[in-house]
Amino acid sequence: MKVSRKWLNEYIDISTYSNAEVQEALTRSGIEVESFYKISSAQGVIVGQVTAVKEHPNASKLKVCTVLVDNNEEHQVVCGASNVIEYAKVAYAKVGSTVNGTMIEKAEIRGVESYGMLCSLSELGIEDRVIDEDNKEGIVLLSNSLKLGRDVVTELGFDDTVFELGLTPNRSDCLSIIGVAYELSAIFNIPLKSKVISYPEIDTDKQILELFVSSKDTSYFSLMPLHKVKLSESPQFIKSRLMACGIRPINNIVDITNYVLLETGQPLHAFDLHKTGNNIEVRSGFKGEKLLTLDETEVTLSPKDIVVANQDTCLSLAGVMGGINSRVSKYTTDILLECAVFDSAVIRETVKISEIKTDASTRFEKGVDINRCEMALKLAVSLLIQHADAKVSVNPIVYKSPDILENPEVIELSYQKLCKYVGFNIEVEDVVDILKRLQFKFKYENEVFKVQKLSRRLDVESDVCLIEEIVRLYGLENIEPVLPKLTLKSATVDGLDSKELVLKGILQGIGYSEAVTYALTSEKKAYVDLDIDESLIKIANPISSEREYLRKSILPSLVEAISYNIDRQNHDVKLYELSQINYLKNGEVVTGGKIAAAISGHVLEFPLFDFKMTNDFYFIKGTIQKLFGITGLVEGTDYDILPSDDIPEFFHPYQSAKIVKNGVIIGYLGKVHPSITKHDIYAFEGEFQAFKDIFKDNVVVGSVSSLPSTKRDLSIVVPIGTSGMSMIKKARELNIEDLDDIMIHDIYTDQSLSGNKSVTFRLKFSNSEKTLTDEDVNSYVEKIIESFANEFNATLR
Amino acid sequence: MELVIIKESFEIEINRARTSKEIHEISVNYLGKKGSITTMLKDIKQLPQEERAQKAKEINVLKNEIQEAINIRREEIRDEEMIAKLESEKIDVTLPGLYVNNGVIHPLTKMKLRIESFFKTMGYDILSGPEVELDYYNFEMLNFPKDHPAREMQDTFFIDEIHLLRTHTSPMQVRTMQGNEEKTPLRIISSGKVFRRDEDDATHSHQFMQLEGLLIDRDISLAHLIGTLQELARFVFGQDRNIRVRPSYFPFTEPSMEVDVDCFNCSGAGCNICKGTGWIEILGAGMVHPNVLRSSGYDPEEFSGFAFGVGIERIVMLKYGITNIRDFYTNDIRFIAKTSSRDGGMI
Repeated sequence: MKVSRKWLNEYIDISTYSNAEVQEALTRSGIEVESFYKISSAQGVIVGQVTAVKEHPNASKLKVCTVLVDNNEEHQVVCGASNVIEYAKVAYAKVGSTVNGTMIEKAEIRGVESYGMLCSLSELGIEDRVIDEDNKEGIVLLSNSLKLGRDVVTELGFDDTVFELGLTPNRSDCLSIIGVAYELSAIFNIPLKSKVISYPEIDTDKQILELFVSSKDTSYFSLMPLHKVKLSESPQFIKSRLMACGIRPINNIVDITNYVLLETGQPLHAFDLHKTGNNIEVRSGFKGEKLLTLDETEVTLSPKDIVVANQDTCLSLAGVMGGINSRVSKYTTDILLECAVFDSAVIRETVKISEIKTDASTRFEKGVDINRCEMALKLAVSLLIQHADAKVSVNPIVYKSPDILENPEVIELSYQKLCKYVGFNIEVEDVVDILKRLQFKFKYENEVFKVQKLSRRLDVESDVCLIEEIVRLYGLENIEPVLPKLTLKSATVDGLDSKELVLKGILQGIGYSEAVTYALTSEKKAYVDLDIDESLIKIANPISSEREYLRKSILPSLVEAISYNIDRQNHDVKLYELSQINYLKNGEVVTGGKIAAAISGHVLEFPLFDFKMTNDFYFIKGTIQKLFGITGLVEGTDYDILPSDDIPEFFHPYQSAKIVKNGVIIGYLGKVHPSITKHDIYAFEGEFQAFKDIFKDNVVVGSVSSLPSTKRDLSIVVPIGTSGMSMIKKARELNIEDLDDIMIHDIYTDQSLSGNKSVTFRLKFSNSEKTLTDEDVNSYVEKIIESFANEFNATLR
Repeated sequence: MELVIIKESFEIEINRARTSKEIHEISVNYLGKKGSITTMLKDIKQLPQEERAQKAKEINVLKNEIQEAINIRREEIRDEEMIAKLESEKIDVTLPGLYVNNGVIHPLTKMKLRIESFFKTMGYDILSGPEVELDYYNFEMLNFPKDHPAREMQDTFFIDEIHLLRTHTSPMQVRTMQGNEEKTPLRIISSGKVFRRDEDDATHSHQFMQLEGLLIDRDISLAHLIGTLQELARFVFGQDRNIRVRPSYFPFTEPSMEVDVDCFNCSGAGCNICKGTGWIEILGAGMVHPNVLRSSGYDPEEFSGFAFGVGIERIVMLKYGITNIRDFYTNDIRFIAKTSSRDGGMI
């Protein structure tokens, strides 16, 4: 909402407050003033008259004008506007004036001297969107009545400040000049001025119209016929104020309805009386009924909509927009002015379905003041008489719903509750003063404030609303901050959170940084694997197809983040993410969690020291081993990492594996398939729950043996296809208690081994009771060799 | 052999010795089992009885002298050798070091944990909730009836008639209050991803992280809310910060407010970060609306409470002078590392 300071001044005298003070005061009381600015910042632009227009000798599109600013002062100005004509009064920015923040200087344009410029409205600082048709192209042509040499900004009414309000949805009362004036009156404790509207005496009860209101959602409806109106341009002050408040002037009739809307917050609509006829009905729309609205949209109506109609046809979509069939045109002589109150919820529904939003509907949607209708209509009629030559012969015909209460409802607020709510003993006099400033009618009896609701403040509907009104004017800043006195208790942390931190700590220790990617993505990037009974959650109203689905997998986004880094020359990247995921299983929403990591480039690269380690499959596998290893879980015993034919196509078929725990697949790892990325990226993704489940609440760790352990290397030759893990598992199955660890130390093959490979194991033995002897260890190693020989055809090398 | 000759030859040899090995040889030659001094001492027996004591005394004096000289020389040579060895090991310490990169936590998570840690000290329970929410929890139970104009404040991603992407973390207020069968006092913090149907640009993001706080108890007042938020602002932005509260509007709180902190960069004088106003908006808050309490089974005449919501991105952006919100989601490792580690702030 944009508010003109001069316009406000018609209702309240705030001349002692600066613009900044007004901004601060309104913002502090809850009406945020986002900014304030002068309508036009131009300085020294004066009224001139073009006395001669000549062709420019060197440019066909330019003209050389002589501009008279005084009886004997003339200047030569080069002008490019096509609408410059002799004898026109123009906005002349002479040398030394300021336009758009730039000082105008003498210039030479294509070889001709130019002393200043002729301005368009846009150059004077008016937004293009709100400039009227006549002034859209070329320079502004001023009224002939303006005196030469006068300041154009002042003459056009642009010497005004606009406050731009950022209103919260509850404060629709401030969608008008009057509403903001009420607010300022309460804040500054300045009485409102009473506005005198000159309205003719009409001493007849005669009606020329018949009105029938059947719509239950219409609480007030009035119509005023006006005759012999002259359609023309609006007077300058109306045009300037509309433009200042963001509305484009069209003609005097439309402009006056908009002017009244801005001033009072009450939307009005003008029909052409000849097109509507004298019998008007306000009813629900018929199912399938159609209306072509002023913006040439065909709206299909339903019984939920309210329409204004005559016997034959629907004339307007009430509260939203008029129909083309009854619009005011240049042939209009008699009009019908509508001023009404419709149910806000109904208008909201109509706006939602018709997708038409207007300044009128915005106000109806939030509720207008039923007690301001009469005044708004009178203001419009008086302006139409003054500026459109309208003639009136009858009083408006008015319908009021029988449901409207005679007496306003009363809200009760106990002093005790107020004090408890604000946290200190506020003075009764202060409360009384605030309620008076807000112009509430109230009584204070038995420590209870009994306050009548205001029709212009529909948002104040309960005792806590009153508390809000009181504190916002008392000043939130005047409340002394106090920490609550609470019962001591320990904080519980969602189990997920602490386990999450342990996992994150380990990943960060290995060099992974945490990424946060978007949950919404394209269908293609939303999953790595999807079971037959699973589907993705689709957004009904997405912004783009790139953000249309909720992901079931984090991995595609993580790979994208890695690529983003590589493209920016960050080649060595390790990222991980832990995130909630959501998808459908048999049509039901499933909320789960995933843990994913992706790597590219090097773990370490220091050519200077001949030191290089590349991120590869085994690094990502090691990451999983490390994570599971926190609680001592061992691959091959507690979980398996296995090659498989049914790995999702996201991965390279021969450099990938599934992670299996207790017979269930809990994740996948491997090289990202080359069809997905051109970079060498390795990654894993697992069920977060499975990684969390490795933690037990009660764990007995015991102590670590202080006796030295014994190391032994064992080299064997086995057929080339023998899997490393199968041999390790075999050794473990022997249940040699003193075998702490068995690791593959080296693998090599050459022709001399003819289809076999040599594998060196490093074995570690220890016993917590005694230092192992050579004999002990030898017997263990023998056992292992024997089992390898039986199982894998292994021979000692 | 005469002692004098032994002494002379020893002095020549010891002065000639340059290495520990040579010293060792000298020591063996003179004092070892078959060394000349040892031999002389053995030979004393062959002397007449009356000469023996005198001779032994002389030999022992020489033996001690030799031993002393060897010890001194050995020390000297050891020192020289150590110096030589160290010199031979000289490296260029100005060459770059070798290190393994550590990973860091994302700046959004870090700030979330930081604020959570603050509230944990006051006994707030830490919870999290679903991103796919029901209209019922996201709006209806929070006093946004169907078609309420305030729903437009939060442009929503819808899934179907009843499901949507949560537009704020506030549904957890309702879930927690409803879930607390005993209707006893509550203190919770709940944070996570939230979604608004905004086009992404430097200051808008269709996904962002919010942290929600809720306190329900008897006799909770506006003064308590303001007090708590002032402590929070000081914890995050520094002990000498002050807050400013302005009335605002949220359907689920009344009175509602927005909270500004005085600019930590210019202390209120006006700068780029605070857009010249001296104040920076950091969060929205208010007293829990009686309708919300009532619909979650709490009696608003017995209980009152406050709630607040913090945009984590906004706080991190302000604290570290980040101007583009998209930086949080492109995951450039340089950005993550820089933003998460520079201030040394604890989690």
